[in-house]
Amino acid sequence: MFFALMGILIGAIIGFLLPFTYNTTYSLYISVAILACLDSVFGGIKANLEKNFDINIFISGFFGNAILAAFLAYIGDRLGVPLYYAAIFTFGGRLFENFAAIRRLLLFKKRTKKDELDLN
Amino acid sequence: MKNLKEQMALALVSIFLGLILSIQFKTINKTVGEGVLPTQRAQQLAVELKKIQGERDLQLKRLEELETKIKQYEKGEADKNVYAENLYKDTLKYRMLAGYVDLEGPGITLEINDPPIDLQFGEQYSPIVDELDIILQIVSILNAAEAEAISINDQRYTSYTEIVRAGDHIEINGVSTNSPIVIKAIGDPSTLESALAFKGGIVWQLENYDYIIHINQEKKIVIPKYRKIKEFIYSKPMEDGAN
Amino acid sequence: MKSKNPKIILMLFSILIGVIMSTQMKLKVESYAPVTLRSIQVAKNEINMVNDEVTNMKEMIKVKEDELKMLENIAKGDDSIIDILSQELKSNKIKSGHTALEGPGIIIKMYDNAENQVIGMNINYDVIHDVDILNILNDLTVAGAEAISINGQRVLSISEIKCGGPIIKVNGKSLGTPFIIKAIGDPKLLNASINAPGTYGDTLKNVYQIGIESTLEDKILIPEYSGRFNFKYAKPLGEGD
Repeated sequence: MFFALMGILIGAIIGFLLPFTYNTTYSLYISVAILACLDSVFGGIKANLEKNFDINIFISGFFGNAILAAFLAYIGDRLGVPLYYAAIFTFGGRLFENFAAIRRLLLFKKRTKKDELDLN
Repeated sequence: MKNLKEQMALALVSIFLGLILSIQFKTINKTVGEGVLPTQRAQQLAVELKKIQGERDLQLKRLEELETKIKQYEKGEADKNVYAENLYKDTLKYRMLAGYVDLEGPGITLEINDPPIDLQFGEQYSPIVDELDIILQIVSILNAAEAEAISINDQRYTSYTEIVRAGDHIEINGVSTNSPIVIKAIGDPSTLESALAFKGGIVWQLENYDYIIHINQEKKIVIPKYRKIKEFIYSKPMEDGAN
Repeated sequence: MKSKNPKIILMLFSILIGVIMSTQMKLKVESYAPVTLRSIQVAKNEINMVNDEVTNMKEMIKVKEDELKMLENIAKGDDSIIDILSQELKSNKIKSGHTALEGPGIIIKMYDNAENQVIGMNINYDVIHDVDILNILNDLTVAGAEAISINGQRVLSISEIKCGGPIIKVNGKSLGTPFIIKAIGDPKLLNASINAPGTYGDTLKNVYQIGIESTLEDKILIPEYSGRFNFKYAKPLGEGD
């Protein structure tokens, strides 16, 4: 949890310092892709806590979801249908689900530790 | 064998999907313009709108300059003799009534705001657009209370003013406007207000529909002049009627 | 691969997200909303409307420039101000409705539902209201009516049209049914504005069974305004006090 937040912060600083930007036309698609990436990272954190983290699943999800989300937004734009809502609702919803799972895992960990201490 | 059949069905459906997609692409391309992404186009349009609005402001300024110059000339000349002065005063009076003069005086402002969002069932535009006759009624009521000049969202209400729906906007004097609607009227402030605000009156009705209404009496209201040339194509003055 | 610490990998990818996010923020795009066809159409309409406004203003500027030129001539002594002022007076009298007008147009006769039985749930639906007349008049104005009268009362911007029991008050005078509305303008356009399917007039006629008869005329007389006309409160801007 903590290291991921740190990572995002470091990345943000690097991004602001870099002189590189892309065409504004694509910003809508990228914003959806960011959401998908965030979801992947949260999923990764959860898997890490559950101790079944698989690097291949993580990387394929990270890029695959991002590309699919951006593609959906693009196709939707071309078709005149806001298809990108599909990506927002799915990934947004999953983001919160993952976060809830992470919270439970972390809290549960603490509680078990406390119980152990109490027993001693 | 069964596998092949399934694949055939899949292929058939995919062809159909592709067909629909390409038709949709073509349709969108036609409305948006060839080779431009809709998002890009929207941004272009926004820039264009800003530019043309700038031009409008420029023209307005020029028009105002001309008008003050004309006024100076007319007044300067009219002061030279009594007959001309009277004529000028008369002209001014009719101009005021026709709506070609900016007016100021005591009166009221009436602001109609949309109902709070959660009461509008997912509508994308302001509900007042569907109820334009309410605006007509308010104007009529104000006139019954002897309003001397009325404007709606800074468009002077004249004898030739139309209030018409254009998509999700309202068009008044050919100018597009939208909620909130601000109606200003010059006249006796307390009469005007009581005509609108009595129980069961128009304001009461609007509040029943959850519109948020503000009425203010004011010492000084400015009502702008009519900004369109009205040319009579069909009507002619009757010979004996003139002068 | 498996040996790598998942935490390090997560960190690396988080950094990637951070970079993209901050780049996105740097762009300062005004709206991220997806564009629908409708919103593009709306924007196009708006541009057209402002364009119209600008053309209208340009015309007005031209007229004013001519006027100014004329006035400058007067200042030089070529013309008399009196001629010009009386001309202005005449044209403003026409525009303000203080001149009787004649021209081609339409005569509309409106009367309450003549049938004895009540059609709607409510007898109110069978009777003509001020709102009905206001809507009809607005439709006529949209169709470019140049002058309108109801039962001989010229309707101007300061005319009220109010229900008062069985009668309707216009310009302070009480009028009863049938209402005869006269309008000067393009007769065909005017006729369409109240009779075309989907218009207010059409609904009144066919849904509420209110009688509306219209006849196109080559020559209609519309009298001058005879109601109140004095500015007690309003003054020209900048000339008050």
